Amino acid sequence: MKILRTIVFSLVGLIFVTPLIWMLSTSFKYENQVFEKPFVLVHWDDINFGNYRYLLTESPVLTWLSNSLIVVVVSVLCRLLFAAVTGYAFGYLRFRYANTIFLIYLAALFIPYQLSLLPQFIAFRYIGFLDTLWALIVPNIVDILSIFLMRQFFLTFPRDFIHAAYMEGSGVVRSFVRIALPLAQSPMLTLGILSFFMIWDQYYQPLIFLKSPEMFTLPLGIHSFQTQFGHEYAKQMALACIAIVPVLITFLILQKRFVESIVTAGIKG
Amino acid sequence: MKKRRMSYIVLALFLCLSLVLAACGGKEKATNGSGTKDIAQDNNETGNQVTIEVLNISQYADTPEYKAFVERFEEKYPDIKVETISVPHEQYINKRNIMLASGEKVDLIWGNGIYQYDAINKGFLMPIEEVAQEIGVDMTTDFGSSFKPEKDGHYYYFPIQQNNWMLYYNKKVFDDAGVDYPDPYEPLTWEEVADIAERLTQTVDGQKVYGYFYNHWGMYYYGYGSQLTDGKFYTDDLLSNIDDPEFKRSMEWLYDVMNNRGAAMPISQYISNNTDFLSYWNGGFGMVVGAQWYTQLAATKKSEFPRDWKFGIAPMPVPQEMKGKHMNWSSIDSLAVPKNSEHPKEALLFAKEYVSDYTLSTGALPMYNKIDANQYYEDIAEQLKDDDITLEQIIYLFGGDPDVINVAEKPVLAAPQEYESIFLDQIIIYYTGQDELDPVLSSIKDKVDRAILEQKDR
Repeated sequence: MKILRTIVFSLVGLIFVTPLIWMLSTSFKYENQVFEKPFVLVHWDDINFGNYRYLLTESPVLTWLSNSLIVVVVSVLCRLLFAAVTGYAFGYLRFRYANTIFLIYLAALFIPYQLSLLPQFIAFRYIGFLDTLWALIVPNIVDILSIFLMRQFFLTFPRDFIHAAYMEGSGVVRSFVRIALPLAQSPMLTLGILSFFMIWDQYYQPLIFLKSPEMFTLPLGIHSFQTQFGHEYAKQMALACIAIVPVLITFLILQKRFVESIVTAGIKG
Repeated sequence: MKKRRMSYIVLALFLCLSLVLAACGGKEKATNGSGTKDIAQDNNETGNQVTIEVLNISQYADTPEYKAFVERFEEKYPDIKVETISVPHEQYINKRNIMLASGEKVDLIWGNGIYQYDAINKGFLMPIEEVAQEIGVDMTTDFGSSFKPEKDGHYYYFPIQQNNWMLYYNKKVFDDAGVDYPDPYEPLTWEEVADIAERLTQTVDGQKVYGYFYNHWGMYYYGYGSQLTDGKFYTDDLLSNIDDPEFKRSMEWLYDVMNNRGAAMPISQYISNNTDFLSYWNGGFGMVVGAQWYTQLAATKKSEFPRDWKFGIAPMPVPQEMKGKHMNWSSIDSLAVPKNSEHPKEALLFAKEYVSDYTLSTGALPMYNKIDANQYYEDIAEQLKDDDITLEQIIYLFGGDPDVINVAEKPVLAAPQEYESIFLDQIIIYYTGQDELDPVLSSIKDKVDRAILEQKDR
């Protein structure tokens, strides 16, 4: 029984790992070997390191990598802070018209992103955000879904804890920072990891708001290996292999906490 | 003690924040020492120097050849600084539309025939003939007699290159099948191509080799019809003419090759395999009709696309009615000046140098006829000598034949983007056998006509 289970799990695991293996294998091939038949995992007699050599010496891939890291780290931290504060206000403090304002927030979820691109582009030009990483960070700070999740968490938050803090003389800010925020670690960690992956993959925003290659992020860099007539898959896969490293490291470091946080807090918040 | 530790933490946080803030700023901010200059002003003039912004696809803008060309240009014209905005081709139109619609200052934009006509119809471009005169370019004569004004008697774009289409064939596939190579000067008819493709199709070492390769681009379906109708993609009242019997005949030809003779990859397999134009270069196909791109791969990107087979070139196939004639599907890639350009003269100067310097280095022949084409032909012939391709063939097929008959490669006059995308979406229904050709073409015509009329209304 145990052996059978191992075999089934291994097969399922293989299905998930296959795209990664293909990606790695393709990154060491020439363009005209990408869709060769039969599929060859590695051409041992002629491994092509040229894709990596090109990326590391002739393209600004390391700059793209650092831009992506800056955008994602700053965005996630700001987003978490904003979502926690706003969620606390909507979920716990429940001020006057809170529900109405929150509904307006939610309504914003139904506006397709593409519709807001042109006004956003014009606005960013006026405030000088175009072709800067701020154009990617600022829109990421306010995320309605994150606010919604934190609000749900604070709706069920034990009120006695905060009341006790009030009794001890804490104000709203102090009780939030000292009591509510530490207890909201689990949903915030979940939110942080999900936001990390989401922002890391963003392509459309950098495409529209950035101009200079030295400001590009990795997803935009990956797409730049696309010609008028088709893709340069081998180079794209080599870049994808480089791009996946920070994501893998983040996930592996936080894997245990991530699973725990989902189990204890759930994505419900 | 506690206070001091707190101070260190605050200082460290401040430093981190400063670093992040500095990194987030654009390159303008990063290089501007004063920190007081407005970013919008900073973009442009510094003394007498002007900066032109060029929007191009990353396929060209990110190459070492292009960067070297820009350096040479800036050395030659120290008063002009070039800032290139490189955009992945997939999203080029979206970015272009947002930039131009928002009034962003762009001085020069790249485009193929469809893109530039789309820009003309949207009112994004300015006529350039007068500015071109100022830099010594006569739009009426310097690009050949076949180059005509695009709209209302005005020229709106500066041609970079015209595609030169031909038949490429894999000599190994022909040798394996014992089939003679096509004549280097006498074009095959499409019927002959179908017969040869069938003979070339076989299974070698367990691998299927198809005699004919196509791309999922419009001209591979309707291009034969374009040769028969002289590129008449529109009716006289500027609506879609795709249901013309000659276009229908063209599409039926490929259906026969693909589904009856089994000599081309079925379209469902083509799409599910992510097949694209580079797939031909892996060696598993006999013939393909293609423009100069395959030659460019062979000539300038040998190390990236190694082969263990030789290729040959022959004139583009023609319909039986045109037997013996040298034909070409004409499509022009170009650079155009948007209406909101602040430096149209400098932009056109850049365009002129672009065709004279950069285009040649990519293995393509510019339409600008004041450059030395002979050197180009000799260079290409030298690069292709391993494939036994002669200088005479190169001259004949790469733009040196004055008798070549050019017909439109694709529809460009009205709603070109919609025309092409609707066609490609719908035609799959026919090639996968879900419906007959007549209702499919009728549906395409209806949809395209609606798009054309909507654009006219706007």
